[in-house]
Order: sequence, then structure tokens, then C-alpha cells
Amino acid sequence: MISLFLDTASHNMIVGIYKDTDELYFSIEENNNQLSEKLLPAIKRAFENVDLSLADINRIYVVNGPGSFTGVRIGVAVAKTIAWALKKEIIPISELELMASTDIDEKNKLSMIDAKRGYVYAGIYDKNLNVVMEDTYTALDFVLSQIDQDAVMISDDSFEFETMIPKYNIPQIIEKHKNDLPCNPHSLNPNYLKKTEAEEKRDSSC
Amino acid sequence: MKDTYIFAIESSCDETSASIIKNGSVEIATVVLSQMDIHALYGGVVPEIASRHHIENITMVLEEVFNKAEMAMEDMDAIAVTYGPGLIGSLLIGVQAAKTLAYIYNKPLVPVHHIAGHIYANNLVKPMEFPLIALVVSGGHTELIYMKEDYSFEKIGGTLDDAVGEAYDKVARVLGLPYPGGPMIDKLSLEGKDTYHLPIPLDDNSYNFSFSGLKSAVINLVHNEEQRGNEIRTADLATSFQNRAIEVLTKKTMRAVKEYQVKHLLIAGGVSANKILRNRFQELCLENNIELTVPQMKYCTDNAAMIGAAGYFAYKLGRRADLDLNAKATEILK
Repeated sequence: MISLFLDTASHNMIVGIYKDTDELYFSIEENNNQLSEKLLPAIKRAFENVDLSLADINRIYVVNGPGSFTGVRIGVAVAKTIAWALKKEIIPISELELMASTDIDEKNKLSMIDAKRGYVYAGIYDKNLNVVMEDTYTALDFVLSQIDQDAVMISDDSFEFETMIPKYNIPQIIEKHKNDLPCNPHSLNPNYLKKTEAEEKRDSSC
Repeated sequence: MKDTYIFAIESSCDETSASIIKNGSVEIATVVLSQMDIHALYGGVVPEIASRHHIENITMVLEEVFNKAEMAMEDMDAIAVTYGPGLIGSLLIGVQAAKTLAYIYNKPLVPVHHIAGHIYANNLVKPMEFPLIALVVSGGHTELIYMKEDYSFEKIGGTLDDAVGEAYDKVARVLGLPYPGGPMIDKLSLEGKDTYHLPIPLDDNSYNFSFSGLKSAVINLVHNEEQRGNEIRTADLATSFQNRAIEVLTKKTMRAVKEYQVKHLLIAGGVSANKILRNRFQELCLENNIELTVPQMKYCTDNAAMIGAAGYFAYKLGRRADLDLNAKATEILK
């Protein structure tokens, strides 16, 4: 089983190619507003590097949020176009779960992404990436009141001091989701966890 | 000669569209998924909502056009995509999909300017004959363009403030008409009489336009009448506004046609669907022995068929983009 892994939801653009859970290729680049230009060339480079083509993959894992709305859409647009055109399996992955896939210790992980104005996208996962608290968009104060003292907090700008990049365990993600039922590419969409401001305003005035 | 098939994608505003065009002039199949009803709830296009709908719809639209045409990506010679100008979040979806397909199928990727698309929508009616003048009128554009050959766009004049379609929409809002306001004004003006005194906007010797003064005149008139307790005759005001706007558009365009000695005039963009505008230009062109082309009604609003037509000529001229093509919110027509 050859898998393409894409994450464009956060500060970093990740492109990985895996054979089962073995890493064949991994690249991480800072996502500095040029994601739209950089993603396809990065995917092309990845496949050239391992001497494979997109046709050789069986499955795509794509992070579909939460995170930067535009960033998520760029990754999902590419992933669902590949999955539709080449009839590949496609599996959505939560950015918060990806953040929790760090094997620093046995404790539960609270992943949080700043959603501005005192709000966060947050989810809690145990060491095996089982969901303890579903991903949600909520006030930071509320999340902090919900967690036990023991949980490790991981924010979207966390990184390892040695490598200066976030430490994700993508093989663990793949292992965890290897038996997931693939989505129909047409219905694989971003999971923003938040309505648009226009919709929020409209809802509150109705 | 072998036929050339262009697969085209357009997602610059609130329509997700794909099309297959043969030789720049024959429509094989087109799918347009409009979000107009959704944005009508908000009185105008909400960019983030538009982007969200584009990503949900994109692959379904691509699939449907191939089904309709009974063709496959392998049959295409090139992929054309609108890269700008437009709403950046909307454009990005079409651009990413186009780049992905170009990469997968190893096809040439042809970047198309949205306004070039509107102009080349006319090539789906009949072949463009150069030199020509194109009047581009839409919610974002009011421009007079001189073309001596394919993809030679010399802007000889344009709006200094509001685009004509923008003025239509704002006036419609003041008159309490539902979104989108332009077509409503056009419809109402068929019933109204030109009884309100409004200025002719920027009636000078340049080829430039200005519609904000006319728009403000309507807004002031409505406020004044309301304060005096007078009822607004909506249809009459719509007629009066529309007549002034169209008078200046036709006057300057016909002067350009004469001065540049062209025999062919094109109208392009969303406002080219306006019936009074079409009728007035038809009369004037008949009088002056000028050939007039207006797009079919279905190609006046945003669609990928026009991008396929424009994309064909760009393809023939060797215009290409790499996989690092980015979407551009603003971009000069070139």
C-alpha cells in the first residue's frame, strides 16, 4: 500500500510518500503565503525523488482542517482532484490529531490552534490517537477548564528545538487510519469547524 | 487539420464552471454551477462562502463535463484556467485543480485572463475580425479595448471610479430591488418612462467613464424625495438611470469605432446581457454599417466556455504556465 500524505492546513506544508508505514519521502517547508505556488511542484519533486508516479499510489491522506481556510482548501483541492481523476482512495485527517501524534510521552494531548479573539480549535487525543475530546471551535478559557492537569498541551506553532520543525508521527497516523473506509472524493471537503462570519452574523440576526 | 480540444476551468467569482471547446469556436460541453441563490441571501457575493462552495463542487463539475461530452482527459490538447483577476480564494480552487490535472495527464497548462475570456466569448458566436473594438462591461470592469490581432489588448479608456455593473447594483439596492440588481433594473426599465433629470456621466472627449456621479445623483434624488414625502416612481427612475448610463457607453464606443476605423465591435462581460444596451448598439451599428457581436446570453455571465475559447488562442500563441502558477486577485489584461 503506497500512500501520499498532504498537510497544508498549518504553518508548514508537508508532502510525504509512504509504503505501508515506512517513509519513502518526507518534506516539510514553511508555509509562507506561497502555498498555492509551491504545493504541486513539491508533489512533483516528491515522486521524482522516489522514482514513482501518482498512478502508483493506492491512497491519499489529506489534512482537511481545522486551520487556515485557504491553506486547507489548497490541499483538499489537489487531493480530491487526484483521487477523483485517478480513482484513488482518499482519507481525511484532522490537523489536531496530526499535532497529537507526537510520541513525547504517554499522556493525553490537547492540540490547540489559535482561532483569534480568544477562540481556539481544540481536540484531545490519547497516546494511541483515540479521541478523548472531539475537535471543536471554542473559547480558550473553556478548553483550559476541561482538561485534566496531566494533559500535554500542543499548539500549532510547537516545534522541536533540535530540528526546528514540528515532530509529527505520520506512520502512527497511517497505522491508526489504515482500515478507515475511503471517502468519495466529491464529498471529501474541508472541516473548518467554524462558520463564516457572514453566516454567523446572519444566524444571530434571524 | 487536426482538431484542437481545450479543457477549461473558471472559478473566479461565484460560478464553478468547466467546459470543453473545439478549435476555439465550438462548444462541446459546458457545466456552470452558480451560487447566485446562496449569495442573494447576503445581498452580494461573500468571498469566504464562495470559496467554500467552489471546493465542494469542483470535482463534480469536472466529472459532469466529461460525462456530457463523452470524452476523457486524454482527448484534450491543453488545460486552460482563469488565473485572475477575481476573488483570490475562489480562483485558487480552479487553479489548483487545473494544475493537478496538467501534472497527472502531462498536458500543457494555459493561463487565461478572465477578461480575455469575456472578450473571446464572442468567438463562440462568430470568428473575431481584426482590427476591432471591444467594450467590456461588468460588475468589475468598464473598458474600451482596441485589438489589432489575437491577444493584443490596447486599453483606450476605462472607468475612473465605479464599474457600470457596480453602479447598477448600488442603484438597485437604493431602489429596494432584490440582488442581483442589474438585471432587475433592465427589466423594470421596459415599463418605465425617462422622466427624472439625471446628469450624463463624464460626457467629454476622452474614452474614459465615470459612473459614481450618476450613482450618487440617483441616491441623492431618492433621499430628497423621501424627505419631501414624495413617492419614488421606481420604474421611471430605473429607466432614467439606465438611459444615461447606456447613452454614454454607446456614444464613446461608437466614437472609438469611427476613430480607430474598425469594422467589428464586440460587447463583453456580464452587463452585455442588458437588453436595452444590446438593442441600442444593434441600431447604431446597423446605421453605421459596423458588424456587431454580442455573446449568447448564457455566455454573458461567468463560464468556462469563454475561457476555453480564449485558451485556444493563447495555446496557439504558445502561452504556457508551469506548476507554480498562482492565482492573481488583480491582473492587467495582456
